[in-house]
Amino acid sequence: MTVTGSVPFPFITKEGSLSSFKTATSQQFNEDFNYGDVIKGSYPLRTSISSDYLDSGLYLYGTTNRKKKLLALKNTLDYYTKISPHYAFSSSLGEKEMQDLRLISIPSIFYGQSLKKGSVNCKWYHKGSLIAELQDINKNGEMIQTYPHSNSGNVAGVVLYGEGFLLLTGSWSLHDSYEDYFDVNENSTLYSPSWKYFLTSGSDGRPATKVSDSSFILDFEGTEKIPTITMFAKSDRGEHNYSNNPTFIKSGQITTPTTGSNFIQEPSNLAIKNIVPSSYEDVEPPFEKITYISKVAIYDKDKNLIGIAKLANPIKKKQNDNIAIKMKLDM
Amino acid sequence: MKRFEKEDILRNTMKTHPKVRFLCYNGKIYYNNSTEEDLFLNKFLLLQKESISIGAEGAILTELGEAILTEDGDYLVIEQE
Repeated sequence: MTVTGSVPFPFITKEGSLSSFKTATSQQFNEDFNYGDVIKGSYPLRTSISSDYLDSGLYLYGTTNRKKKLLALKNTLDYYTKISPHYAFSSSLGEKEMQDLRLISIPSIFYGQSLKKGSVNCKWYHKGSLIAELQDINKNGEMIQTYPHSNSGNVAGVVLYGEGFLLLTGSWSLHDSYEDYFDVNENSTLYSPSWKYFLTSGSDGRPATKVSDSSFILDFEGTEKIPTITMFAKSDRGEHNYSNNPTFIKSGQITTPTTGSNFIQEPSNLAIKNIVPSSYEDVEPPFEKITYISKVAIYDKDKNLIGIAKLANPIKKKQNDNIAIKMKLDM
Repeated sequence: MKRFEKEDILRNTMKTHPKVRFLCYNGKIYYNNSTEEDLFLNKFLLLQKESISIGAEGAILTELGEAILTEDGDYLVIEQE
């Protein structure tokens, strides 16, 4: 990483080691750059959910991009068949290689270690009204239609919870009359809404054929393990019974230090204000040292201040009190 | 100043389930109801939209130099030596 002005950016120089950024293809690396060229990226890195429509037609024409994405998930899908037969890459429930598929990829930064089982929920709205909903009601990865009641219970796809993928194959119509340009590869044909078109932006994203009457909501919960540290700060009997706060001593006393040509002396024997409450106005109760603990400062082993915990309400501490303050920090 | 005893500090792990919502409308994705418009469906945007302009012969110009758009939608900048 280097710095130009105030903006840092990553860079690689094309050289004999042939190192490159992961996102540059071999062809781009070979043809677009000369030896000695500096390839720059920029920060911050950004990512987004992606939704790909894998048309079965592309399989028939041998387009490799579709195959590449699907085959990369083949072993993972087959591994989960012990949880549900709907995961199977190839079975009597469907040949994923030959089906129209919607593949939704969720980068792990959005969910952490894995998606929470049973938390994935897909909703399809037409002009603001809910027309269909999918939920994993059995928490086994099967996305089952729960609304509307027709076709309710049908499995429209599966979720790969650990990997962050959602595969939707449901092709039944979700609305009686509504049609739109859902197929990204077809900008002249209208289609009925179905789950394989979930989270589509329309045909090739062109304004004229953009799907604007539909909106989609994808809800899920992630799973993250956050390290925590709990600290107990103790204030035992007889400790922390003095304060530097000026209100700790009685008012009206001379507090200015005495100074000379080679010394400075703070006044001694200043009387501490007695704040013990009394039931009678003219009777002073017996004196007791009382302090209020409002903050706990935490230092590292080299006595550098690394944090301050403030109490919502200061704690009153009498001379004989033992107090433990519990502090919890999420990393 | 008091020193923590061994039993005064406990290290642990907390399991959390943060909720996430993606709303897709008109080709744009809204993350957790945010109003930011940087998230585009199927595009990984490495550079701010505002910093990209189109030059002669369709070249993508950025404040860092000429860029190429990779297969995944990333922008990489080429600096000629």
